[in-house]
Amino acid sequence: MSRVRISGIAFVLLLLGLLVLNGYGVVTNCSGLRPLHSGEAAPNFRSIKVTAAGRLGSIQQLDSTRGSVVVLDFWATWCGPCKSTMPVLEELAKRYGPRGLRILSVNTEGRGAAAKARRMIDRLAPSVELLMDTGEGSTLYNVSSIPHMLVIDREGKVHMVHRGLITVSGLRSDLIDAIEPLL
Amino acid sequence: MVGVNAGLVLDSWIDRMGAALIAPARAMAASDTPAGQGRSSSDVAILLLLAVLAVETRLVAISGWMLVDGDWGGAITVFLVDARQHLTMPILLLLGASVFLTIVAGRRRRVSDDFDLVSIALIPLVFVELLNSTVFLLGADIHTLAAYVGYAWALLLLGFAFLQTRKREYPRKEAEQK
Repeated sequence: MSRVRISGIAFVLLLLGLLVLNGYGVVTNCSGLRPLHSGEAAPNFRSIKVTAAGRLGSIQQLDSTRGSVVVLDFWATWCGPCKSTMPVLEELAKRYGPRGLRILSVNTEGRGAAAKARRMIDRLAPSVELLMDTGEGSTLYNVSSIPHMLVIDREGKVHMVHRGLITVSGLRSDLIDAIEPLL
Repeated sequence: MVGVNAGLVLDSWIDRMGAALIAPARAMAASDTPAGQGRSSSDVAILLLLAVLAVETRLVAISGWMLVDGDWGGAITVFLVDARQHLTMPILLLLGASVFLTIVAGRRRRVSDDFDLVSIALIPLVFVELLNSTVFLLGADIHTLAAYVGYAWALLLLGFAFLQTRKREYPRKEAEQK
């Protein structure tokens, strides 16, 4: 067998190996991957508040926001589309905040990124609440593409799920359509 | 009959992938023959699709669940958003490098063949990305190193692509004038 064919086979084996490794994770957690839908209860999870100085603060439970309409946004500082949605979140926080909307911006990069996330939030969306994910939130909500946003009503039920970003204007109108009737 | 290009023939997809990794000059010479025209670009299209499926199996499963739940729009959006994250850079690189190669090839340019040559240069980049994803699953993070290695390898192969264009004959009219 030629060396060219051997390296081609190695390439295909790498591709198949990755597929098997990822496929095993999918098969063993198949039902857990089912996305949340409108009307389903939003799972409670713990995240860590980030202080104004960019340090880690107290633990925040999602359930503690019951009674408010919540926009839950999973994001990362390296994610360009996430950054482009920040002005929309800021606009919504200012517009609907006084009527009971809370925007929880959950950074998924791990605790070490708190200061960086704080600087970005302060610059682009200072009216939203910054939290750091402990891994619990992104796992429970099956966060794979970011930005990953949900609108949750006052009783803790999911009303909208938005994964990834196609257009900022589309996301903005979807969020407004979901939030308005709940306030 | 054994033709002049007999040694260059790479019949199977597996051989063409292997040649792009360890014998790029041979892979490019094979691609630059009439029999090889158009193969490399379709090879890379298949490879990119398989790579997205292999790297984002979890997301494909989520899209599948959405289809089961009747959320076709959501399923397509999730898949497209994810595919865009993985494919934007390779496609931009493919187009940009093809234009560059066509320009530097001068009178030896053959636009579709140049695109095929650049497609071969992209194969190691995908290979390194697959390796990076596998290593990450096994618990190590080499993504910065992988990015450097992948792009350096692709750049080296672009050099091979340029050399391949230099081996072409001038178009007949110009050759006669010379």
